[in-house]
Amino acid sequence: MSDMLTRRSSRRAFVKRSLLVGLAVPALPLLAACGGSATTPGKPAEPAKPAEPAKPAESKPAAPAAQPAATSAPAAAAPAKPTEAPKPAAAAPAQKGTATATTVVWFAGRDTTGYTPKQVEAFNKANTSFQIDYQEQGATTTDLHDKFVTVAGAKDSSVDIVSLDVPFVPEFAAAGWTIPVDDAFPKDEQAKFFSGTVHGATYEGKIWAIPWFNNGPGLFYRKDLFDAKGLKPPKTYDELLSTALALQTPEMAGFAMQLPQNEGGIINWIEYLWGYGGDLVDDKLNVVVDQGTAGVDGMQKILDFVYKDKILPEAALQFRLGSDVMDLFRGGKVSMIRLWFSTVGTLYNPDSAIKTGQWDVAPLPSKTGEKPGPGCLGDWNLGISKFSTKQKEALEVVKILTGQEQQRTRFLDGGFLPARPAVFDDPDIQKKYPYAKAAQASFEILKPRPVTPYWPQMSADAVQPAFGQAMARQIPPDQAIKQMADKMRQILKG
Amino acid sequence: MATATGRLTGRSAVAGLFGSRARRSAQERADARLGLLLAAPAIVTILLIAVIPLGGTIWDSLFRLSLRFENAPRPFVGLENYRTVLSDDAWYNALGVTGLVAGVSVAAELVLGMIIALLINRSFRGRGIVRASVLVPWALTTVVSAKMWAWIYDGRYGVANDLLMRLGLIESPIIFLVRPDVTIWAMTAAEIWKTTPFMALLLLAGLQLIPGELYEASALDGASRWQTFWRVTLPILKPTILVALLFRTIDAVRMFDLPRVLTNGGPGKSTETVVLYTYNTFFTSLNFGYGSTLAVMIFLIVMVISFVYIKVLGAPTQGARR
Repeated sequence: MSDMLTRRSSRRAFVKRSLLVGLAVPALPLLAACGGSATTPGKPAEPAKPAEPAKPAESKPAAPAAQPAATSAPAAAAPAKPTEAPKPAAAAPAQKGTATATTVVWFAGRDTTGYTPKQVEAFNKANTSFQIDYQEQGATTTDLHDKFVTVAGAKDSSVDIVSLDVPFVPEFAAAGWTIPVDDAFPKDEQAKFFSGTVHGATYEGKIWAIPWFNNGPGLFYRKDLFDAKGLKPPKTYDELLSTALALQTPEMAGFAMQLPQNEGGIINWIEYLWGYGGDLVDDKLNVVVDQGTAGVDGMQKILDFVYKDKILPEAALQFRLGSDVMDLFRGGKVSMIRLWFSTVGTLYNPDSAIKTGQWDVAPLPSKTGEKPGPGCLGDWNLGISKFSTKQKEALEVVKILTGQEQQRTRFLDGGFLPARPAVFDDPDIQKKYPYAKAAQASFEILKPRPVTPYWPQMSADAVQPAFGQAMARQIPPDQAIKQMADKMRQILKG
Repeated sequence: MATATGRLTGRSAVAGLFGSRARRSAQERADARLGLLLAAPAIVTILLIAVIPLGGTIWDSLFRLSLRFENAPRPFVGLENYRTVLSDDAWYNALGVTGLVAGVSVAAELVLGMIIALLINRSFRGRGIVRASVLVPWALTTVVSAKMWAWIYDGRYGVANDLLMRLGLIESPIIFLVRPDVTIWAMTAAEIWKTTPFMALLLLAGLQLIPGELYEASALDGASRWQTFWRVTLPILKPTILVALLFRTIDAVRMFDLPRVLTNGGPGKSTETVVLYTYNTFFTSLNFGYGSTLAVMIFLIVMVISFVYIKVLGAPTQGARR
């Protein structure tokens, strides 16, 4: 073949090939959706394989051995300080343990406090029969959702345990991606948990997960500044406004909460919707958000805080993570915030500009102030993937992680509020967290988001865009509510 | 990608099979067989990563396929999903967003990329360093640069606000990423910043193929720099520009990671691109049938764009070469 010919046809061929590449590339995401999952999470599960032959013999005696340690309350000092205690005892078994231990993969959301990875590390050091391969999936709860949908949609066995936000429980149960755990979590055991959390793990009469930690919002405020001005935590929305105005300075915002166009943002509005006496859907899943004026009033209140009263920085519209708000508070840049209890741990970090004693927590304000304002149930559960090949072992690990002792340590060291009320009675807890009793009381009144497999779609397709447009003042609140309601009805029709 | 030899023989094989009408010698047939053999891995790879998933997607697009309920029926609905697309407001919105961002960013990248390519094609001290540093934005992972731009656009700490306020152009900070009129342009700017180097790189490669004698000759003829650019540089560069535009347009149509990380489609759906809409249909709505339909629509769009570029823009180029 002559050189001339080669060169001429090579350019044409290049164009042709670029066309081919162009065609192939759009198909790639689809491929990733089916095959990609097998490559990444598949690997970590591998080390467990050699141990599998020994598994049936090993896991059975191991399970009861691990269980008492988990359930027999504060007496068990060893797991409380796992980094020190296991050293002498576990030195020899550890070697045997790594050879026979079953490794389970845990898909979790991002823990912005950084505590859970440490907890898992301690668990792995202390435990000889199970090892956890802890994998955080992206920055937001939605990332975790999408990753698990990818894996479960492909019926991939590479995930054993999955962390479940309240709305995921009905969604994944309906899709057949998690298994009911009624046998492992019988009624007498359920009674040891907050009823709200058990309710949140229930779908169509079955339990699909075990509550792992409790979460709800509180009004965190600067006690030192309040005391200096003789102010009390606000009980109504109007008091919130006047208090914020009284404390606001050019360097310090009066109030902050999350208002971005995501799940974390809309919850803040939903609480105001409830506060004004409205709801998204009724008991029979009829959309009622556009009935009455609660939705519009709640949205208008928040808009006024941002644009009219200017107590809430406009930047709140881009606070996509709870830690964005907490960092502001920790840095001394805001006098009050509405935020999840799950972020409280970082207030105890040495890098916090605000020290213990300078802050406190109060219940959320409401419209009239007679009762505390409604908060959204935001607890997290641990469920088991239907496609896991180690469901029994995974369930044992979940039972340990949700046990009294782990929940106690998690509260004491990480600030995560327990799903078991009994943990609040612990003297160490009461000493370290003076607000614990108040938090416990607020958990009794938390409300869930609509319990339906359609909620994640309703949230993403109907509520979030309308809320986002209203917050950006692209459309007025009444139009946002109407648009939201129409879309929600359309989604519920299927 | 196959090796250079693989490509050459592979092409001769294809030419041998389809191209020549003349009788083929035994030697040519043997060449063709060897060529096919060498091209086989590439063909199999393309089958595996492109054709089979594409076929599966087209197949799925003919069903009402929702993963919402475990035992829900999955009826065959023929082209119903495609009829739905044609009356889907969200799809047209996403199409408009994609078209706007892709059109503006590719046009801006062509102009900027050309300027950069012409500049770094000249010889000056430190040229190597400049060439390498121009590439940095493109070398960064999109997610990383999207995060970076999120900080630049931040309402409280962002550099963009700081600069604009110092210049006295604005009085109070703009929350770039939640202002419907501003966000889409903020996103387009980030896209241009990220991919201009790619354009510049391709154009630079084209510029370097232009023999120096042509410039000498045009200088002797008394052509001005401007004339030289229009009459010598541009015509010879045309095939390169075509390929660069083709790559960039396809890439821009498929834009996903930047909007996903920077805005996630917001505020409202004002920055939701077609791929992001498709992704959300799959993973939030769990609607795999309709999602597949959207994916096929994107595939068709990309195919049409490719054909337009190659047929309409490609033809005169080949004519000019003869």
